[in-house]
Amino acid sequence: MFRVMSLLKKACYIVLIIFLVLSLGCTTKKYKDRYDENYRTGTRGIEMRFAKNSPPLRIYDDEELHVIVELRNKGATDVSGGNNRVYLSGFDSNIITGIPTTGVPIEDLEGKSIYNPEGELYTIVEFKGNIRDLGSRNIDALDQDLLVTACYEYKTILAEAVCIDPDPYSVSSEEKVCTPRDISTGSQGAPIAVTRVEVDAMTGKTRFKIWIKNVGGGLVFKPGFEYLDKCNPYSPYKLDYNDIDFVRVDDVKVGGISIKSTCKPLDNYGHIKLLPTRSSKGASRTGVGYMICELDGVSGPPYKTPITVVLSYNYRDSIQKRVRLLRKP
Amino acid sequence: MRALPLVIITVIVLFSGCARQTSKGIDINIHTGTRGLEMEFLKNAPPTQVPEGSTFIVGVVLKNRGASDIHRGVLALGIEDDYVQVDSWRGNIIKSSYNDRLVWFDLEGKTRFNPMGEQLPVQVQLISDYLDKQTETYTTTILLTACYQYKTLFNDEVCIDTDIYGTTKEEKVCTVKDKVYGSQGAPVAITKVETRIVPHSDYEDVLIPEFVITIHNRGIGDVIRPSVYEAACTSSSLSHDDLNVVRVEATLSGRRLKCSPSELKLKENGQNKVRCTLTTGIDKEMTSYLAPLVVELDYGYMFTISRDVEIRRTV
Repeated sequence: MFRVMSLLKKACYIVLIIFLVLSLGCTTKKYKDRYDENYRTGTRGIEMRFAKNSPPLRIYDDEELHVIVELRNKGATDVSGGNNRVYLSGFDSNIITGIPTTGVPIEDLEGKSIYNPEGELYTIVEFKGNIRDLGSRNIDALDQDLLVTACYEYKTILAEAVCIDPDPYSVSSEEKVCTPRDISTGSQGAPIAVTRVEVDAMTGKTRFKIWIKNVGGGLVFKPGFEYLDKCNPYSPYKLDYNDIDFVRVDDVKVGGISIKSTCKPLDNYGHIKLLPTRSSKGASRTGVGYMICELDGVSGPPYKTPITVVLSYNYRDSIQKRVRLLRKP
Repeated sequence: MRALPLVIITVIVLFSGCARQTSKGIDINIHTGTRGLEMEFLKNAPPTQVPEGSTFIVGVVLKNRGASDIHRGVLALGIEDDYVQVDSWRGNIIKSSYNDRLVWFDLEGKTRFNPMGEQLPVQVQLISDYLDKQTETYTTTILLTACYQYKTLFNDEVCIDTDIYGTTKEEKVCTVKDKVYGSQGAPVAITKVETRIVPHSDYEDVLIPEFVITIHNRGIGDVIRPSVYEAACTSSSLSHDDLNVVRVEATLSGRRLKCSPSELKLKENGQNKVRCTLTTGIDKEMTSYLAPLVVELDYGYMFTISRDVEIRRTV
């Protein structure tokens, strides 16, 4: 009897040890994945949504209009500084009053990073307004479309490895470590993406055709405060053709050497224009453009080196909700 | 005891059903339909045949099926003096002190709490006269004419888009478009609103919203100038200018519009158009938005129903 008990005890210990080892294995795997994860993916910048029931679908005219918008930074760029703002518009200001026309600043929102792969939890912006008496205006019910617009500065950073072959046409038995080829880069955790880098190797130089696309579904426009101010729906100065679909190329580096000065076509301020693409429904928000940059004076055997592209721009996203204002019975 | 949870669940389900019904009630739209006042004879009142020298009842039910209240509506009885006399009126009415064939009434229209509108039974007792010796029967016509002042209240959102040439890249909640309508719970209806936003002739930063509103008499009666509606039911004469006239008032976001003409004469087909303008204009820098357009039409309305009664000689 004692022996049986002892065997049973041993078996329990063995099961416990196996269980611990397995759990430790799982933990290690998770830990490893998290830090290997490429957080510079995705096509979103700031994501907005209305807080539940704020505003409600129906509001009586003796109640206060309370709009709460949750903001999440789903991209890989930190949003900071007081220039980034959220505006509420689209309503009749004779009926809904008290909404600030200067918008509400967006609090600093940390983007995705290696230690925060999902982006910061969220921050909120609030708008409070008053509804004028509908009864005295002979109105029983009035639909209003509330448009929330976020205007913010953002960046796209591409960092990929490319193969540089200074002598691609050489006839040699020497084995090359890499062959220059085009790379699909997808997205970089921002609404503007470098989608593809086409590599064209020539003797002594390599040319890069870098494709840039608006993949976020919003509107991209020139970086800088003066343009950010024009994004305010109440501003007398509106964003126009000369402002929208422009992205500033801050730098293009290959192996630590800046080749930005070789990039074409850029304007005097380093902007590239994205041209709207046609969809089945007509012109869409998806602008696409490319620039051609050149790395000159390379020599030696082929090698792999990082290419870095840094883009700056302002971005506008919006969400909309219809509310029904009702005359108090 | 086992059935107790079932009973509780049933009660909860039933109650939640009631709650939904109540909240749905808010959505009742009373401003629909082309009916205003309706009037119909009660069964056998008047009877098809009456003996000479006898009393008989003419009964009608007045129903306000529209969305406007009727104050001081007039009900006029039309009878042949040589064959029928008025004895007395009954009902919640005001009798005329100078004309026994006229009465006044008030009748509430449809509301969210009474979506059928108010009804009013009215009876008038008549006396048939004796026929000539040579006459065995005589068929006389009893007419009842209702004249009342009525309102059409139109209320909808219209898009105010200050980017009239579509040059800016502003996010818009709406775009300007013409809208077609059926009815608003009254016999005279607004059937179309065409919206135009035009630049101000003097001020560059001001835009003028302008609405071309089509008005249509879709009921079965006639439209009269509102100030003379009572005359249509009395012996006072009406001029041609008083017929088919509708008074128009409109506001945009509570601001009064200038409507031209302010008294619109409907054409022979019962339709016409009026132009209403916000002369003070709106700021060009405003973003697009939905604004409440409220149009109020005031008019008199009249219609008649009739029934034949045969008066028979008694032996």
